[in-house]
Amino acid sequence: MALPSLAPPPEVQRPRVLVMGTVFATVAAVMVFAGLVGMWVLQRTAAFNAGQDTLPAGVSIPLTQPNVMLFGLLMSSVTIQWAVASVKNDDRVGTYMALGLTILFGVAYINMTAYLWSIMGFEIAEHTTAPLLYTITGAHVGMTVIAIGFVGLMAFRALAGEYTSRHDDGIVAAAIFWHAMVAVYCVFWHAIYVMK
Amino acid sequence: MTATQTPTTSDTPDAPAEAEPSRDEQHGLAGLLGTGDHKDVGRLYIVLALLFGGASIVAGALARAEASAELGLFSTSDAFSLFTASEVGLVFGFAVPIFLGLAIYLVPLQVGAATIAFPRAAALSLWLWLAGMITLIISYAIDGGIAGAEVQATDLGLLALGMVIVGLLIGAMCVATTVTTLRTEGLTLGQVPMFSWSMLVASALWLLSWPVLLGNLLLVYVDHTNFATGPGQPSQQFAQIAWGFFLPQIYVVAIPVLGFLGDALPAFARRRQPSRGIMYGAIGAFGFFAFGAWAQPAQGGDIMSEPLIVVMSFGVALPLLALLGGWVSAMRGGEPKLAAPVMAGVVAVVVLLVATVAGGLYSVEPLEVQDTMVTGWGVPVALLGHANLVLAATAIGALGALAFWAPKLTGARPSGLAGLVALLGLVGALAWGIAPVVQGFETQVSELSDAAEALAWVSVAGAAVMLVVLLAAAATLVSGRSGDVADDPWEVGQTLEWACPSPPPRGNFGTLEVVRTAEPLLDERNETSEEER
Repeated sequence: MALPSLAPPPEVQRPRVLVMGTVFATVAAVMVFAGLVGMWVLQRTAAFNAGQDTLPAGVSIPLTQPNVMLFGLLMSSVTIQWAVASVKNDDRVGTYMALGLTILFGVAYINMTAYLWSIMGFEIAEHTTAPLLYTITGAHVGMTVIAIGFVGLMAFRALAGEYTSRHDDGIVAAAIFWHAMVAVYCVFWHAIYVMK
Repeated sequence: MTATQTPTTSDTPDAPAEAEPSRDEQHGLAGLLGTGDHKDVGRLYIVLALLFGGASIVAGALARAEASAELGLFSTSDAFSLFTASEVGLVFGFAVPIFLGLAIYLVPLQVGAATIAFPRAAALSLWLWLAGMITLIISYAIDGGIAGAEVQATDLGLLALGMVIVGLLIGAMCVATTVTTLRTEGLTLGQVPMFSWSMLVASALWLLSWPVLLGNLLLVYVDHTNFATGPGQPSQQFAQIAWGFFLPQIYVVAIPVLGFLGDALPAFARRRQPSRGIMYGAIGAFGFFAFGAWAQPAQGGDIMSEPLIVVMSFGVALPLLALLGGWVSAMRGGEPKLAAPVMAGVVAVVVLLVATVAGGLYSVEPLEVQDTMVTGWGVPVALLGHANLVLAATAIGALGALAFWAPKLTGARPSGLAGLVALLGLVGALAWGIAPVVQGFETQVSELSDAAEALAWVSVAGAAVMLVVLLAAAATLVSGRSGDVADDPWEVGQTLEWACPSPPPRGNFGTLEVVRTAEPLLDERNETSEEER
C-alpha cells in the first residue's frame, strides 16, 4: 500500500511584475480617452444648450458599423478571456486559438473603423468637432494596434512554451489591456455614435 | 542580527542585470547607451534635468523681462514662445524628471530590490524623454514649439512634447511597479520608506493626469495639421494645455519633496517617525488635491471661479500642515541635527506652504487676482507666480535630496554647501514667486500698477537665485569629499538604501534578511547598542 506523500511546501509568491506594470500602463491609456471623451461630452452639452447639433448639417454617422464593431470587440473580450482560462488549464491549443481569434477581431475592428471614416463624409477641417472625433477614434485605433501587438507577442511567447498554468502573467497582462481597450470603445460608442 | 549582509559584488541570483554579463562589461559611450542599470539611467536623468532646468529658468527670466520692460530683445510672439518653452522645460524638463531620475536610482535600493522593474523600459523612458527634449528645443529654434509661427516646426514641437510625456510616463510606470511588486521579503507597502511612498503617489498622479494632457496635445496636433479652426490655432494651443503647468496640477511635481523630507528629517532626529500611517495618508491627500486634469479653463465654463477650485486650492495646505505636525513630533523626542539636507527640505516645505497660501488667494474670485495678466501672454501674473513658488520648492527640495543621497549617487559625502544655498534659495523663491503674486493685486491696490516693472525685475532676480540653487545641486554631485565612503556616512540612515555600499554595485544587495519594520537599520543600531550595554 502506497502511503500518501507529504504535500510539497507552498511556492514563494512570485511578484506579478508584468501584470502590475500593465495595470499602470492601462490606467494611463484609459486616461487619455477619459480626457478626450470628456471634451466631447462638454462640446455636445454646449451645442445642445445653444440649440445646435454636434455635427454639421449633411453629416451623419451611421450606427450599423459602430454596432458591428461593438459586437466584434465584445466577442474579442470573450476570446481573450478564453485564452486566459485555457492557459490556466494548460490547454495550449485552446490558448492559441483564442489568441488568434482575438487578434482577428481586433483587425476586423480597425478595418471597420476605416470604412466608417470613409462613409461618414465628415471633412476634418469642416467643423470644430471633426478633429476631436477623429482624435478619439484614431487614438483608439492606435490603442487597438498596441493591444494586437501585445497579444501577438504573448501568443508567440505562448507558442514557445513560456506560459503555463503556473506562469500565466503575460496572457493575463495582455487580457487586462485588451479589456480596457474594449471598455474604452464601449464608452465612446455611446458618447459619440449613439448620443452624437 | 543584521538587516543585510553587505555585498562586495552582485551575486543576487534573480537580478536581471546579472543576466547579461557581456553588456555589463561595456564601458564608454556604448555602455552608456546600452545600459539597463537603473543607477546609470537615474544619474543621467538627474544630470540632464539640471541642465534643462537651468536653461528653462534663463528662458523664463528673459521672457518675463521682455514682457514687462520691453527691452527690445525679442518680439512679443518670440517672448511668448520663450515663456512657453520655459514652462514646458521647467515642468517636463526639470521638475518631473529630476525626481523621476532620483526615484529610478533610489527606489529599488529603498525597497531592497536588485533592480528596477522593467529596466529596459526605464532606459527607453530616458532616451525617449531626451530625444523629445532635444527635438522640442530644435523646434523652438526654428520658430515652432508651442504656438510657433512655422506650421511644420510647430507640428514637430507638439510631437516632441508628446514624446517627452510618454517617456516620463514609462519611467513613472517602472517606479510604481517597483514599489508595488519588487519589495524585499517582509517589507509591506505600509512600511516602505517615505520617498518610495511619495514616488508611488506621484507616479500614480502622473499616470492619471499627464495622459489627459497627452490627449489634449493629440487633439491640438490633429487640429493644427489639418488647418482646422479648433484648439490647433496658434492662439489656442497653449491655452489648451496650460492647465498642466498651473494651479492645481502644478502641485504634482512637488509630491516627492514631501517624501524626501519624510525620510531625512526623522533620520537626522535619530528617531522613528511616529504616526507613520497618517504621514502616508497626508502625502496621498496632497496628491489628491494636486490632481488638476478636471480643471481645464480651455474647455469652456469659468472653471477658476468654481467653488471646488477654492476648496482644492486651500485644501492642499491641510495635508502639508499634517505632515509638518508629524515632523515636529518626530523631532521633539529625538536629537535633531540641522544638517544641510534637512535645512533644504524644511526651506522647500516652507516655500510650498507659501505657495498654497498664494494659490488659495488666487482662487478667491472676489479678490480679482485672476484679472491681472502678463502683457501679451493672456496668463494671469499671479498664476505664474504661484507656479514659480511650487517649482522653486521642487528645486530646493531636489537640492536637499541630492545632498542627502549624494553618498549613494556619487560615492562621496557632500559638503555643507547645500544648506546655505537652500537659505539663499528661500529668498530667491520668494522673489521669483511672491513678486508676481503681489502684482496680481493690481486691481485692488492701484499703486501696484506703477510698480509692475519693478516687481517683474524682482522676479527676474529671484530666477537668477534659483539658477544658483540648480548650480549648487549640480555641484553637490561633483564636489563631494571622495574617498572610502561608508555605507552610511551620515550614520543616521534608517532605510535599506543605507545598507548597501556607496555607490552600490550592480545588483545592489547581496542577501537581505527578512525586513520586519519600516526602519530596519535603526532597529539594527538599537539592538547593537543594547548588546554593547
